[in-house]
Amino acid sequence: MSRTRERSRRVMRVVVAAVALAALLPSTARADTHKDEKLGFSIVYPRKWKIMPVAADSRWLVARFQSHREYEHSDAKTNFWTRHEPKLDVVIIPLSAGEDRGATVKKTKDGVSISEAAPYRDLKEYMDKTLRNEGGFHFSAEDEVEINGRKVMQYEVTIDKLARVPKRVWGWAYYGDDAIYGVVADSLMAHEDKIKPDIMKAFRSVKLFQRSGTLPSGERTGSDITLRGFDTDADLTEEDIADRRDKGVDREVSRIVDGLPKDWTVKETKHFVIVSHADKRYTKEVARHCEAFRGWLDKKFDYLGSGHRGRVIVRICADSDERSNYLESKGWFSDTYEVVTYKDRDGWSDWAMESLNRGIWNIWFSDTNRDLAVGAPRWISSGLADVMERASSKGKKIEFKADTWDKSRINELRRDDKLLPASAFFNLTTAELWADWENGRQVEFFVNYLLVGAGSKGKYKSVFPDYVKNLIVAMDEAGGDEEYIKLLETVPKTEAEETELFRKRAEYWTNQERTMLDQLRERTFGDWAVKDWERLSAAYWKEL
Amino acid sequence: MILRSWFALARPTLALLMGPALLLATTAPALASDDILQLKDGRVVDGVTMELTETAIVVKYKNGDVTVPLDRVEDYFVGGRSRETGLTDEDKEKQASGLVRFRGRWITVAKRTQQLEKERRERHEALKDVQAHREWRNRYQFETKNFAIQSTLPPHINERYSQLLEDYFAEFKKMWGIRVPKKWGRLPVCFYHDRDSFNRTAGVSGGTAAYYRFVDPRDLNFYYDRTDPDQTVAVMFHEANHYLTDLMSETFQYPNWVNEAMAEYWAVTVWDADTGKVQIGGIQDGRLVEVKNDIEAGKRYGLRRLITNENREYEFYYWGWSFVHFMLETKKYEKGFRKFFVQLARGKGVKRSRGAFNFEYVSGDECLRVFLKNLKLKDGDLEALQTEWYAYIDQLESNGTRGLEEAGMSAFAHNRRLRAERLLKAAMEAGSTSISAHIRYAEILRMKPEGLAEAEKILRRAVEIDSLEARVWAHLGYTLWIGDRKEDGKRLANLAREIDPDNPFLLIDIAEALGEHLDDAR
Repeated sequence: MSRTRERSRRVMRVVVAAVALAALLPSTARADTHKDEKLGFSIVYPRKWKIMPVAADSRWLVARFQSHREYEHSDAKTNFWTRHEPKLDVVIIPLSAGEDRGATVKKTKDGVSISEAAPYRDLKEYMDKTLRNEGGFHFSAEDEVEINGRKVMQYEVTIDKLARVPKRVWGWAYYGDDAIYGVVADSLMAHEDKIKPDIMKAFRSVKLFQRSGTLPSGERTGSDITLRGFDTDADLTEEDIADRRDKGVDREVSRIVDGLPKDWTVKETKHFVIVSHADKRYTKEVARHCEAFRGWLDKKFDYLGSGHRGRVIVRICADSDERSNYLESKGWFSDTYEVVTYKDRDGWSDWAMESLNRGIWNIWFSDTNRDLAVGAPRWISSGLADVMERASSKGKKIEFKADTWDKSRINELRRDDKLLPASAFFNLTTAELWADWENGRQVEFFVNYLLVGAGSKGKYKSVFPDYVKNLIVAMDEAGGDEEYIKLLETVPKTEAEETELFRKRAEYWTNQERTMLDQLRERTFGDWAVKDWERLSAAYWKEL
Repeated sequence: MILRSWFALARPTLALLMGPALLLATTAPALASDDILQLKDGRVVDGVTMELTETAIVVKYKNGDVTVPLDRVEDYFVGGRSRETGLTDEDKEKQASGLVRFRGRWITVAKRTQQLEKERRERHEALKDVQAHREWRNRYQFETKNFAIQSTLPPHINERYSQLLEDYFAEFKKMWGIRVPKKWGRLPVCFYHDRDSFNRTAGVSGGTAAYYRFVDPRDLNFYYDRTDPDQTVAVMFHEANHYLTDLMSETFQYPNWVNEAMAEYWAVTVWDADTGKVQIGGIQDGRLVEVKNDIEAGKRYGLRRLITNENREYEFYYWGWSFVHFMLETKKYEKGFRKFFVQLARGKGVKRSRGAFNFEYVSGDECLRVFLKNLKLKDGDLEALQTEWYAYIDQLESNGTRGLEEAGMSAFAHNRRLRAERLLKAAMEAGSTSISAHIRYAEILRMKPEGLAEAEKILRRAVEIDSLEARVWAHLGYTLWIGDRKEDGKRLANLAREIDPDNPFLLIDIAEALGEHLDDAR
C-alpha cells in the first residue's frame, strides 16, 4: 500500500484550499476547438484545459488535453491521499490493425529486428492494455450507437481493485473509413459528477473529415525495434559508434523541432539541447546547471574512460504531471539520449533535480566507458549514481549534499553499532549489498566520503581513483566470459556430472565477483595493515 | 548460436512485443456459426462450425478438424442439436407410428419438434449466457455460509469451488477455534476464468497467482487455471489460509515467514467430495523441488534467519513450508508448534507493538523467544534443531506423478536435461495428464536426432488429453516442421492460433519453436 508523504500533506493544505475555492466558482461552459487537418479530425475540448506534449515517436496517441484543475481524493482507511488532473486523449488505430497482428522477425547485421504489428485491434483493446498500471479494472458498460451516421462504440471502465484511487475512464471509438478515432478520458470516481458532463460534451463534439496527411504510422501500425546482440558493436570502430550516437541525437532533435507544441522552446548549449516548457529563467538555470555538472564530470572523472560523450537532450516539462504524461507517450524502447525533468513548482522535493542528475550521469558514464558502467561491482555503480544525483550547482561550482533523513538514519546505525567499517565495502558482493537495505545507504555515504567528502582530499584522495583504475585494468585482463560459456556448452554424460555442472553454474557469478573484489583489494591495498583500515574507518566515521 | 541464446534471454520481451503471427500467414476469422460447446473445464468454444458424432464433437477450424470427445463436454448446441436430442430406440418405433414419448407423455412428432426447438433455443441462450458472464460486469454472484462468491466461471465450477472453500473453512475452524467477527461479514471471493482476466480485474501483474487483501475491504482473488485444476485449488487454499489466519486475532499480523509457510502447508489439502472431509499436510511437490534445487546449488536456509526474519522473502514459501511441515508432521514438535502459532497471536505476555495499518506485530527476537518457549527449547538447541530439519528434508520425497512432473519441469528450467528426461519419462509412464509436462518432454526428445518421432508421439498423446489446447498444436506443428513436413507444420501452428489467438504464452511457444530457424522459415 502506498502511503502519503507528510511533506506533501503540508503543501496540499494550501492546494486544497485553492481547489475548494475554485469549486465554488460557476462552471465554465465554453470550450476550445482543436483541429488537426493532417489527421482529419477536430474536437472541442473543455475550456481552459491544457494541450499536452506528445512524444515524437508516439504511434497511437495523437493529442492529449489535461484539465487545468486538480481534484483530490483521500482514503481515511489507508491514509492514502492523491490529487488528479483529468486528461483526454485522442488515439488513432488504423482499421488494418485488426488484421495486421503479430510481428516479423529478421536477423540483421545489428542483431535481431522485430517489426511489431498492431498491438491493438480496436479501442477496447487499447484501453484494456494501456490501463493495466492503474489498478484492477473492468469494462462496466459497453454500447454501440450511431452518431452522425457513424458507428461509435462507447466504453466505460471502472478502476476499483488494488487501485491507488478509484477512477472512471470513458472511451468512445468513432469508426472512420480506414481508422478508428478514439477519445479516452478519465476522472476520479469521487468527482465524476462534476467532470463527466464536460468530457461527454467533448466526446460528442468529435468530427472526422478528409485528412491531408497520412495516419500516424503510415501503412504499418507497430514500431520497428532492433535488439542488438551483446557483441554486435565489436565490429564497429570508435568513430562508427560516435557517429551513430550523434546522428541519433540529430534525428531526434529534428523530430522534436518539427512537432514542437506551442509555448515550448529549444535551446542549444555546448553539450545539451534544452527542450523546455518552463519559463525562460528556469530553463536558463537548468541549462547552466547541466553544463556545470557536465564540466565537473569531465574534469573529475577523466580517468574513467575515453568514450565519445555526445550531446544530451534535456526536456523540461512545466510540472511533474506533464513529465509523467510525456514519459507515458514515449515508446518503451525509445533509443534516445534524452533526460526528462520538470519545474518543481511545489518546492517540496529535490526529486526533479535528482532525476535530472541521475539521467545525465547515466548517459555520461555509459558514453565514457560502457563496459565499466555495466560491469563495475554493484557497490561502486550504485554508490556513484546515488552520490551524483545529489549534485547541486552555484555558478560553475558543483556541491553535494546528503539527504537529512538518510543522515539521521546513519546516526541511528551508529548508535546501534551497525556502521560498516571501510574494509567491508571493498568486499561487498551484489548479493551482500542487497541483503540489507541499510547497506545501500551506507555505500552512498562511503562513496560520498571518498569522492567528494573529506576522503577526496589529503591522505585518502587517491583511494577511489586508484581502485577504479585498477578495476578498469582488471576488467580488461579478465576478458570475456569464456569459462562460463564453457560451462554452458559442456554436455554432461551422466546425471551426476549434470548435477555438478548445475552447482558450478549457480556459483559461477558469485565466485567471479568475489575473485574480482579480492584481486582489486590486493592490487589497491596490498600493503595495508589492519591499522591502516582502522584509520580509514575512523576518518570515514568521523565525517558521518 | 547467438540467436538461440538471445531467444532464451528474451522470453518475457517476446510476449510483449509479438503478436501471434510470427512469420505465419494471417488467419482469416472463423465462419460465423450458431454452434457452441462448453467443456467441463469451463471453456466455451463458439463462432466455428461443428459436427456432432456419436462419441465426439468435431470442431471444424480452417486449418484442421479438432475432435473433442463427448465425455469432456459439459454442454453443447451443435447443428441445432443439444444433449437432449438423442432419440432412443423406443422413440424411433413410436415415431414410426406417428407418436413419440416425450417427458413421460406420448405426443405427436410435430409437437415434440416444437418443444425441442424451444428447448434448443433456450440451451443456446444459456450457453451464450455463460460466455457473457465472463465480463466482470455480468459475473455470477451468490452467497454461501461464510463467503460471498463473485465469479466469471460457469455455475458447475463455482459450485465445486465454493463447496471446497466451505469444507476448508470448517476444518480450520475445528482446529483453531476461529470465528468471523460480525462486522466482517462474508468474505468476498473473486474467482476469474483465466489469468488475463485476473490480472486485469484484480489489478495485478507478473507472476502473482492470487491475493488476499488483509485490510478493508477484505477480499480474496484468484483465477482458474484450467490446465492445472489441482494447482488452482492449492492457490485458493493458500490465500484462504491467510484470511483464516487473520481470524486468529483481529488485531495481530503474523510474521511473513509464519504466514506464508503455514499457508503453503495448508494449501496441500486432500478433499473428499463425498464426505466433505479435508486432510491437510501433504507434500508440496513444487516447493520440495525448489528446496532440493537450492541444496544442490549449495544453499541451505538458516533456521535462526527464518525464525527471526521480519522481512518478506520468497524463500518463506518453500524453505518455510519445509520447516512447518517438519514441525507439524513430527510428533514430538507438533503440539509445541501449534501452541507457538496460537500464542503468537493470542498469548498473554507476548510483546507486540503497533505497526503498519494499526496491526500488532512481534519482532524477530520475540518470535524466536515465543518459539523456543513453546517448543521447550533453549537458544543453544537451535543448531541441533536445524540439523534435524535438514535431515528431515533430505528424506522427503515427492509423491507420485505430480512430483515427477514438477521435478522434471524444474530440472528442464535449470538446464538439467538428463535429469529432466528421466523424471518426465517416468511421469509419462505413470500416466501424466499434464500438458506442460508433455510439451517439455517432447522438447527434450526433439533435441536428439532420433527423438523426433517419439516427440510427435508424445504430442499426439497430449492432443488426446486436450485437443483444444493450442500450445500442443503449436509444438506439434514445430515438430513436424523440423521433421521436413513443413506445410503440415505451418498449418498446425496456424491451427494453434485459430484455437487460442490471444494467448500470450502461446506466442512464446511459437516464437521459441520457429525463432530458432528464422532464416529457414522466411
